[in-house]
This record gives sequence, C-alpha cells and structure tokens, in this order.
Amino acid sequence: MRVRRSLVWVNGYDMDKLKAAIDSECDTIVLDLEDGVTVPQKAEARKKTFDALKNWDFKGKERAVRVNGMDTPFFKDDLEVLEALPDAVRLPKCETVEYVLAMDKILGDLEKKHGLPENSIEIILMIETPLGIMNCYDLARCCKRVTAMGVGMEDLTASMQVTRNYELRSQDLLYARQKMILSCKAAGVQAIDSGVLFNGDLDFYYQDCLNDKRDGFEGRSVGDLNHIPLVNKAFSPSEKEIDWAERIIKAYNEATEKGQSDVYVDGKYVDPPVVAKATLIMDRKRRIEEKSKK
Amino acid sequence: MKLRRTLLWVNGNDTKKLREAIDHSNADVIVLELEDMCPACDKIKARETAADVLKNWDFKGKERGVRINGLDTEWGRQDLEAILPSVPDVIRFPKCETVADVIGIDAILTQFELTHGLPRNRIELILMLETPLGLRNGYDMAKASKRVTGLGFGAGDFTCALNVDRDLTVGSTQLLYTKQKLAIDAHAAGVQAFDTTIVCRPDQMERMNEFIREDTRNIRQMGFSGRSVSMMPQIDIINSVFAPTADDVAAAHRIIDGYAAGLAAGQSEIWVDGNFLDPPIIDKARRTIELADMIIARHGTLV
Repeated sequence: MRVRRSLVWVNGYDMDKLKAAIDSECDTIVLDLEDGVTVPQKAEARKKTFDALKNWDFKGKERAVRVNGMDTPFFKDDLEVLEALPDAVRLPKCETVEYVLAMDKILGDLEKKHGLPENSIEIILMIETPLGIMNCYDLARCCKRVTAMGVGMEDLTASMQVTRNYELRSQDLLYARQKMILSCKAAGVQAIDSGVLFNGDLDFYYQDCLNDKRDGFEGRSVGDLNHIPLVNKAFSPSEKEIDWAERIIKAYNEATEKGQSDVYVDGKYVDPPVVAKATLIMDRKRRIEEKSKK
Repeated sequence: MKLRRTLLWVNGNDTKKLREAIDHSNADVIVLELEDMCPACDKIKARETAADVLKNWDFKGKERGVRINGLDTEWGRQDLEAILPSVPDVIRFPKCETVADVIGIDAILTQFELTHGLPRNRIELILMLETPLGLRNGYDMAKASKRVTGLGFGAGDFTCALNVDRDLTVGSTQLLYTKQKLAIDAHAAGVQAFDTTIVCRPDQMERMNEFIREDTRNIRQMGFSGRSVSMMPQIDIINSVFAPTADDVAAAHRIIDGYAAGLAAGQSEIWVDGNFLDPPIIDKARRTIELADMIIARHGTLV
C-alpha cells in the first residue's frame, strides 16, 4: 500500500499552489473540486485539474482528485475530469454502500475503456457524517479499490451540531474517531485524519499529529504547504522506534537460530505481536525511503 | 428541531409543582411522570391528574410531555388509554430496548390518531435508552418510526444494569462510549439526543449546581441538545449552557456576512477571524443563529 502521510489539498484552479506542492515533500496531492471551490469557480477548476492530471509531471506524488458529492448537481461535470485518469478519487460525505459502489462502477468502466488494470484507480473515502461513522466498516469493505478512509472533522462536527475545538487529547467525538480507526484496521485500509483550518501554532500541530499516529492514523490532510515537513516527520517511524525495531528483530532472529524459547529485549518479553510491530516499523521505513529516492 | 434544552419532570399528581413549573420556570418541556418516580400507590391518581391537566391547563408555550410506564408493566396500556385523549405533544417511552418495542407503541399511537382525525405522528416519541440492549439498538430504534424525535439516556437504570456505582465527577470517562454512541446514533437518525438528570439532596444543591454546569458543557460538546431535570434551580443553569452566547451569535453573523461579501467580491478563499470558511463552518454559523432566534422567540432574551 502507498505511503500517505501528507495529503495536500489544492483547490482545483490553483496552479501556483499545485506547482509548489509538486516541488514539496508531500505524499499525495488532492486536487479539490468540492467544498474548497465555490460554485462560480467549479468550471475553471475542472478544466485546470483535467489539464494538470493529463499533462503535468507530479514527480512521483499520488495524483488524487476530490470530486463533488455524487448526489449534488455538480458531480455530473466532474465525470469528465476523471477521464484524465487520476491515481485516486477522494469521495466526500460517504454514508452508504450503494453510494460507494456507484463510484466503484464508474471507475471500473473507466479502467476498461482505457485498458487499465482492474482497481488501479483507488478510492479514498471521506467519512463526514454520523451515518458515515455508523457504516464505515461496510463502506471500507464494499469494494477492493477503497484503500484509505479519511474523517472530515469540520463536516462531522457540523452535523453533530457541536463546535470543533483544537485541543490536544480532546475527548470530543472520541468514540466516533476510534470507531473509524478500528473500522479502517478491520477492513485493511489506511486511516487518515482531518487537516486543520487555521494558521500558526506549529507546536500544537506537531503534537496533534504525534497523537494521531499513536491513535492509529497513518496520515492527515494538509492545507498549508509549510506543514508538510512536520506532518511527514510525525507520521514516519522515529529514530527511537527504528532502533528498537532493529534490536527486536535481531534478537528474535538470533534466538530462533539458537533454538531459544524465551526472548527478552530491554527486559521485556518478545512475543509474536512484538516482532510483528517491529517488522511493520521497518517496512514503513523502507517504503518511505524508496519513495524519497524516486 | 424543537428547542428542548430542559425536560423538567413533574410527578403526575403534583399539581403544585406543575403550577410553579408553568408559571415560574424557563423549562422548555414539562414531562408528567407516571413511571419510576411515581410510587405504585399513587399511579392511578397520577394518571388521572396528568390526563386532566394535559387537557385543561394552559402550558404557556411549554411542550407538554408525559412519561408512561412500560407497556410490559401492569400500568402502561392504561396509562396510554387515559392520556391519549388529552393529546400530549410528546411521550417519553421508558426502557426501550428493541425495534419491536418502538413499533408496538407506534401502532397504538397511529391507531389513536387515525380514529380521532389527528395528523399522523402528531404525538412524538422520545425513547429512553436505559439498558445495555437499548444502547446497542439506538440507531435502529430511532429510525423505526417517524414520530421518534429524540433519544434520551437514563444513567440511573443504565449503571444499575452494568452493576456499577455511578461516577459523578466532572469529566468522568465512565459513560464516555455510551453517551458518544447515543449521540452519534441520534444524529445519524436525524433526531435529538438528551442526557440524564442529576438528583441530589437539597442540602447538596449548591455544590451540585457547579457539577451540572460542567457536566452539561461536556454533553453539549458531544452533540446532546438537552437533558432531563428534576430540580427547578438547575433549569436556568442548563438552559444557559445550551444557549449560544452573544459573542457566539456575533461571530456567526460575521461568518455569514463575510461569506456573502467574499462571494459577491468573487474571492476564491474566504477567511473570517483567522478561519478558512468551509461550507460546514457556514452551516454551523447558521445553526447558531437559528438556535439564538428560537430562544429569543421563546424567552425574549438569549438566556
């Protein structure tokens, strides 16, 4: 699966920001046709997004597009943009399996038409409503091309009729967020957190990303390009983690060769899930390194 | 959505408290109690009195509710027979656990409305979730009938069912999953969420008021729109927590006005007070203004 630590959102008409994003270290660029683009700008955004997807070199970054909701009057014209064959579609306000399957069919047809392998265009689902939270496991499982699920905190708090507070370790909507992460892991897809819609306070932002990682998120949306290094750093294995993982794997391999039954590292018993965690850390490190070589 | 920040419960035969609640309180809803707080020896009297006052008293704009006994008790069906001719605005249905429970009472209410020429779903239902099974089925029960307009939580019975002591410290995580799940279920079904009441001895009232204020702030932030209340002095505290402040309303107006001005000027990104205006932020601002308008229409002021 792709590394998706930072998913930078670029309004579909904003080619200066797109250039800067391509030159940045972000993992995914999401060209937005939905809520970041006002109605009078939608046509221009579609035209420029189509052109960029078709003709620009994204330098190895994932090329995603956020379409308008399939139940809105704007979606029909977004279909033309998909003809430019993005790597992934970010599908907003997902609530029902039928809705996701409708997009699955559209992308399947596109793949056939253009001779692409099946499921090569991925879907990043957006969960932004209480009903989406309730159904999120089924949504993530309903077709193979769903590889990530993102929570949209602005819309979710709006539909819960609560304010969105930027507080570290907030318990606001904790159940909803944990349910979503658990559903992602159960379905085998990535969990992506919301971006923040304010400027400044990088210490807060970095700490919040570290908390996200601890909770099971693998990346988050980013609006401000200056945030990318912070977000990438937070969602990458730390030096401490890598050191720990290397020692675990080494000790475990040595013990297995010698036929030892009990393995201890730093005074702690190493059982299979500990080895699995260490392997995941090393695997993620390797994938990030491969990516930055490109 | 109706303004339902405080659902004051008054025992069915306590006409003195009812008089005071109507004339001197700011409760949004009055719920005449026939169930657990009404002792068995008083139940018949309470039922008759409740039917009478619902029919003949002027509630002065407050919503007229009644909590009946469960339909699996010896009183429940007769409660409905006595109360329905007075056409309450809302029935609080206790210890609701399954979709079948909801469909059962819905059928009785529908039959009554049909035979008496009332509009369908005239009598609304607030389902009380007070057991682990009820909590599990919240969303499905809320969707089972259009007359369900709220889910209420009953912490006393719920903690009893879990066999735990109820933790009344501010910020306790004891019922975090329970309450957040109820709120998500309610919003997913498009109904309101109401939290439990806090009862205390009169001599603990002052200390308890501080708890109520903080606890209500917490549940508001979970997505609850109101809570049950049994003691009059708690009403204004709860109402004020659920009311937007004058600053909130002013900020909401700045967002709406700023958005309109930005659109008119053809701006592609609109920022107000340091925040990027995303559509959900505009929705929130609109809701804040709507809620403020409802409160002002009811009480004349924001609190």
